[in-house]
Amino acid sequence: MDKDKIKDFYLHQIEMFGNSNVNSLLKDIRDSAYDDFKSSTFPTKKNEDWKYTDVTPLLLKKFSRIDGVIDNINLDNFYFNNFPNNLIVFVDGIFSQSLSKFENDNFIIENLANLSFQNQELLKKYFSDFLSKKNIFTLMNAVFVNDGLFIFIPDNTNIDIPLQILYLNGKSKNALITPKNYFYIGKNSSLRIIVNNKSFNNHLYFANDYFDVMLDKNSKLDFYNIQNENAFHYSYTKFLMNFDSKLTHFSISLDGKFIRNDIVSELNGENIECNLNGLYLAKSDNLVDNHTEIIHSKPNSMSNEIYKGIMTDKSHGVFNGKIFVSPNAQKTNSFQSNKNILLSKNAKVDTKPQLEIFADDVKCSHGATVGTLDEQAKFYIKSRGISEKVAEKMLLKAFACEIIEKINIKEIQKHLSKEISNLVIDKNNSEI
Amino acid sequence: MNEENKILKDITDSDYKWGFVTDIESESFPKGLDENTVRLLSLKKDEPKWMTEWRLKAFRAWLKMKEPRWANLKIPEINYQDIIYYSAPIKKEKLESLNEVDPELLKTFEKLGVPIQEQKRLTGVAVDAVFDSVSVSTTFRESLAEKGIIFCPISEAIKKYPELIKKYLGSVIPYNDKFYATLNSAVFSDGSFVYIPKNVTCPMELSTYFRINAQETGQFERTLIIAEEGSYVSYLEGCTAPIRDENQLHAAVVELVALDNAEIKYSTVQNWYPGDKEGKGGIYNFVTKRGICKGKNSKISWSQVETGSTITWKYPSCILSGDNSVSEFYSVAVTNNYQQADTGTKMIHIGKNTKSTIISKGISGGYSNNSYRGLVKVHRNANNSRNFSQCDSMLIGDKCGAHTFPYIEVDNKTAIVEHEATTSKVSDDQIFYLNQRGISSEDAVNMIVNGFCKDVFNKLPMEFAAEAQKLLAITLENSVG
Repeated sequence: MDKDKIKDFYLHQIEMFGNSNVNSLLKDIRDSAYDDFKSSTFPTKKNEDWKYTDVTPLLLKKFSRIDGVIDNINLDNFYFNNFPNNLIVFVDGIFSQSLSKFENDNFIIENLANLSFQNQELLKKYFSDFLSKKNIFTLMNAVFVNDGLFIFIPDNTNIDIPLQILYLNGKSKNALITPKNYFYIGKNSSLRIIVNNKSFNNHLYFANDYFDVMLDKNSKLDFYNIQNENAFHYSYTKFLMNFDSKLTHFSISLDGKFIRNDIVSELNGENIECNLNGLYLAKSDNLVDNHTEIIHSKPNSMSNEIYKGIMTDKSHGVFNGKIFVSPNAQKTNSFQSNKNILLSKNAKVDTKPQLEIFADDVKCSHGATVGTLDEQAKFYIKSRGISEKVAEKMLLKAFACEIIEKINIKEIQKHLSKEISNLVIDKNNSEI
Repeated sequence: MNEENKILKDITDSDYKWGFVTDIESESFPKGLDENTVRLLSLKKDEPKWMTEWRLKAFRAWLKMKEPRWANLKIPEINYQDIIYYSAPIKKEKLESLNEVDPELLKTFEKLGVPIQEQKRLTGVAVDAVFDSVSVSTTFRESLAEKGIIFCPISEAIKKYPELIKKYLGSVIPYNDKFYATLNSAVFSDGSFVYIPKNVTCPMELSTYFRINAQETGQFERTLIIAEEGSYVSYLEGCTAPIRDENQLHAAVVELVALDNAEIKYSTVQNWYPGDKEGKGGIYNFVTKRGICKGKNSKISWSQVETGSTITWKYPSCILSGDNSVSEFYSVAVTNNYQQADTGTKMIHIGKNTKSTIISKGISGGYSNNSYRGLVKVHRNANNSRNFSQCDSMLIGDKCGAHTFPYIEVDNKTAIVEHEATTSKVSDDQIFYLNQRGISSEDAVNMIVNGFCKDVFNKLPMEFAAEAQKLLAITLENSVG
């Protein structure tokens, strides 16, 4: 496939499908992005935001939109089954009514394709511009959108049990998966969401998802985004935070051929607490690219960002974190750190923590490190009669501990510890 | 708040103290740049043919280049045809001693505090004074010559030591490198050439004082320093320039080559005209500085104090290609009023066991913007390489900005790279504490800022450290955080 022609391929697909059989909301979203998508081009390494990430492998493959619901699947191994009755399932980006188990009358939760007229109006009220950031991938997500999730938590509502959204991808070959999600957390309300991205089998696919999240006054959200896949994934998440709100976000990338996460958090009020945490493990020739942007536009808020990565084999890690403090955001406290461990000779990492500060009465700092496991620490453990493998596991777990112990869902914690242990075994096997 | 406003006003009101224009007859080219200008320049300087060709090669490459725009700077359009590319003080006769030097010129140096007369012996500084574009007087050359050290204007070196120039000129920064470096390669007027022979430790600190004098003269300095095996040299560069309205472009190039076990220390104090309170006028300082640690165990250290220029855009860099080589970068950049600075360094680790340290302190006041931009790159084979970077910013007033753009690219698992940065302001508590002890707010700020920059000042040679502190005090005059 000629990579310059790939856009024509996608444009042709859009024409083929047309806008029939979709509700007016999806039609509106598609229409709002079509012209811009048509005129934009895929980024190259000359583009500062894509300096370290080459999208060519993605452009050499053809992905096609999927229609129709698949629901005859045994889900057992795919989700965290602590909360079996709080599960929303999407297969290849399309909502599956029969696989989802959910009982609720406290708040609104509906998929976009079947959204009632009343709820469409509600969505439009809070998310009037369907796209807060326009780059070719978010535009592509919008022009191809065929489903997604709308969650509306009314004011003063606390949801105790975490809500799990399982994106089971790759049931069909070469699928282009483009869900678009809108979450609204009302005043004084709280919610925990687990977005769980899983590959169904070895089929290659391109998941291009979009999350637009609004936290109203004094609301609280824990957001876990877990990627454990074997494919291409572009993910865009936007948080708009109001006064006194608190966000704790986890971006956890356990596996994926090509992962690029763009996270933008706009702190549009005072006394906001924004925590962005990231843990990425990269194996074989994987690429994990995390871009984050925190915008402080009002005084007296706090942001805290910690991203940690472990790279093995021939993998490549990229981190770009930007903190922007606008002139009137006095008394901002902002911390950012990115730490990386390289476990193999062929692994590499590019990191770019960035501060742009226009206010004087602020406390901002950032740090970045790259290194390998400390030989002396390893020797110390080994000298106590512990094998090399176990010593490495211990050190890696200790490294990831800073992120893992912040997670307040036991099952995810366990899962991550196991993944890190596997890393050592994988690595040793590949080197022998 | 009122107090603070007053202070801000005071900072912005402090004038550039070191501006004056010396009346000296000078011979200039008409404005404009084309192949003929380059040829004429080369002819005027009586250069050999290969040098003219080299310049032309660079000029042709430059024509195909575009001005880079990626920096965090707002740069007004520069008309390269509106610059005088050559201006030299007219030599009336050949000068035998300092007494014959134009007394106006000597006065200028005196005002600048250049120890060109008896003081120089006491301070142990040999001065290659560059007055506009032609070196007028080079001192101490004899005592240096005894040791085999060459310290002369580069135009002289081109004629006298063509082998060295051919071998090293453009070896670190090629003729077709980047826009401003290439422009410099085509039209460089003069500069310094230093050659330290094998196993020689240069007995004194070498120093060049630059000064842009004639109106509308872009100055294109070219410096080349070569340290042979086992040698050591410390080089000082300091600049001041008179007040004027016209923006002036300064695109210098500095190349350093350190061979096995050699060490080069390069220090800069830059206090060019920063423009007036509205940000009008002032000098554009677009400098390309790069060193290569070519040999084993070699060392290059850059230290800089940047207080002047409307726009400063420079990244003194180091390529660590020899095994066990070491590089350091120490920088203080102060911006005030409408000044802009985008400065930092690049450390490219290629050899094994290479080490680099980056300490950068940025202070912004008024409406200025100060950015640190740095690259640390560890190549595949640079085993056990080590980098530590620290860049701190301080903000004085709420109209200024401080930015940090570190790029870290690691391609080797045995490398250890650390980066940290903080941004803060001069806190009221600190000032109050000093006030209590009877120290005026202004002195308190000076003291705090000096303490903030101490890590860097400690690395400067003695005379420079004193001058740097003075400069900082003047730049931040009347300021209370």
